[in-house]
Amino acid sequence: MTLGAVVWTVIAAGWLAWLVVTRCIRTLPGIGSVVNAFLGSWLGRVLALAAWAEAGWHVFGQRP
Amino acid sequence: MLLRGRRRLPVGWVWPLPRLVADLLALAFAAWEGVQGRYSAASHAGILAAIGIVLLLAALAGRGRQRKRSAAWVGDGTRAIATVLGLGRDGSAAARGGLVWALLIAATIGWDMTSFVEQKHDLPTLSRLFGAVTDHDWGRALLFAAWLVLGLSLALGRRLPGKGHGAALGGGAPAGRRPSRPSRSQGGHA
Repeated sequence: MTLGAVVWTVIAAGWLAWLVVTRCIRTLPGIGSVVNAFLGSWLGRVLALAAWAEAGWHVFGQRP
Repeated sequence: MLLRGRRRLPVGWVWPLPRLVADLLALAFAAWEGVQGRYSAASHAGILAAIGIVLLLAALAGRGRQRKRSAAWVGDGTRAIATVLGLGRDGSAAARGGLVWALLIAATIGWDMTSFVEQKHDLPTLSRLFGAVTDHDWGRALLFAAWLVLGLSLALGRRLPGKGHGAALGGGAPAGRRPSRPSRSQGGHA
């Protein structure tokens, strides 16, 4: 396993573990709260949509 | 869920037939995009069309239905960041949870940037990992469908309930929760 694969695996495991923890402990903010924080205003929503659009263009329209 | 009287309807709910047609069109769009080459003009046109449609829907659904004004949102965000960084006085579970989210996001972006700068084969970037999936037609179609769903959720989700049929475009409160009415101190509707 390469260094990159190891680090990405650790990061992915961290995301998964924290998603589970926030699902189990309701007092902690979940992923929905993070997303909702951005969707609370036009500015946040535009930032989120800009990131979404850029990610789509990069992943589907350019050589990753 | 949309709240109409006492009935709860799903997010983005519209009459079944138009909704079904829209879903089928979106699926067909994703399947078509899946077989397009990454560099093709058709693929680029499809991606740009998807972005344009989602942004248009966001604008159409969003008039007067944001929970906060942008200035109030920036103020709240600044206070939240100060709290997460330990500059605030709030040591609540929410602040600690926010810190973990910030660390996870920073780790993801930081390692992606490190891999990008290094440009080594054994240090793949996040987009190269996605590229391993989008190299296949089915993977590209599935990922494109997921991307479309995410975009529509970002464009239409978490809106205040609108009046009349306009509510059908924009979601509203999530399942099981009633939308909170912002006070004037929260900046009102935007």
